[in-house]
Amino acid sequence: MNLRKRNLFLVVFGCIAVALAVTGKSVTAQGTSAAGGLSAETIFLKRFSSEESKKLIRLYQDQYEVYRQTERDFTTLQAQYLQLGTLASLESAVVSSRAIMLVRTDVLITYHELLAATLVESIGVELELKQDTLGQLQQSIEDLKNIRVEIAASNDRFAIGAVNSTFEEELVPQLYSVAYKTLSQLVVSDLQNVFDKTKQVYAELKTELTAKEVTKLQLEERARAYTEVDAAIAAVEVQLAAITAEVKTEEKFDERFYQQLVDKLQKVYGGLSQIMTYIEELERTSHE
Amino acid sequence: MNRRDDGDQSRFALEEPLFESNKPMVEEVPVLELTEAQLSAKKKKKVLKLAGLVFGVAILLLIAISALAPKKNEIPNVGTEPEKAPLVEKTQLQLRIDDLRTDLRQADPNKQPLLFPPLNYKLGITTNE
Repeated sequence: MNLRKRNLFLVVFGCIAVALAVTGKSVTAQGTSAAGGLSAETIFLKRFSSEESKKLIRLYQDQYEVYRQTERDFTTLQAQYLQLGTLASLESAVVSSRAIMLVRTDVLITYHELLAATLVESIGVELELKQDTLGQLQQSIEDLKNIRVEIAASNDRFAIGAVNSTFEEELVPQLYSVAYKTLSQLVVSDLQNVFDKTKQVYAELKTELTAKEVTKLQLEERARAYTEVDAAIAAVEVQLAAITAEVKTEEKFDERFYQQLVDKLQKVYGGLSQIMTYIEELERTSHE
Repeated sequence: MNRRDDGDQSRFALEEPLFESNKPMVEEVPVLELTEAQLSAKKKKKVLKLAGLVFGVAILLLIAISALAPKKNEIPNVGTEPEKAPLVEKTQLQLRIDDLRTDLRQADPNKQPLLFPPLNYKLGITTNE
């Protein structure tokens, strides 16, 4: 009797395990396909649509890899010099420090070129503002190229130390400011662009819906729906206008300002997503 | 009196009676005979338990089979026309709304791909001096 009970228990347990494994597998597969659409990598690469920016992003990624390797070598040789204190170990540390400074400058030059290319391609930034920022980016690139020449010409640790101080204390703050100014304009213009397109699609949808014959009740429902969408659009428009004005008048761009801007833009992003949901819903009603 | 009390330990092993048990005797519980009605009720209970188990196993098997069986609308027929039909049926406006969704995902302010490069901005040779 006990044996029979145990066998039955094993059969039931086996079935539960099989059922759980199978349903788990199907849920995972569904999750993968649902999450599909656009992966983070695709979104990242889709941003760079032109041949120029695609070439630059590949170069930037390659240079960044080289930088990481050079940084590891520099850290090792610096530690060896601190431990041994010999002329030979100092020589290796000096050579590696010059190498990493050159690679760092290369990464930054390509980064600024990529920023400039992206800004040129962006739609939604005012032309005057865009040209002003592009001029500053070009200046940053020039400064980086000039300091690269100075680094390459430095032969001893004193000369390398001097040029490095100029780079880190004077040039980097300027680079930060211009880069975050550009990023601020890009991030706002991206959402402005989506907002403008959304308004166009909404207007077309309204025209399409007006052409269809509906009952009085449906007409009333639609009018209420339009009121909601119009209110959501007006709210996003006000938020975007305030943020754009802030970016235009700001004088000190840095990481902190940029983060605050991103936080404010999250509201706009949420508002736009809501408007799109409304539009999708309205569009579906046109087929009923 | 304990046999060890006289101090002669050699006698203990020899004189100990074999298989002597000091345990108290367990009283036998009289087996009660079950009546006909009790026996049939017990049998019925056993059958019910068994039926319940079989039913449970059958349900679990059904769940497993239904999860394994491919759903009609999920059969991937690469290159066949009916698969592409729903995409073709989308109106121009629906396609534009889809594009808008994609544009919005790309414009997510938290996913800006061009943040300032995370490099070491405090380089320089540290000396022992």
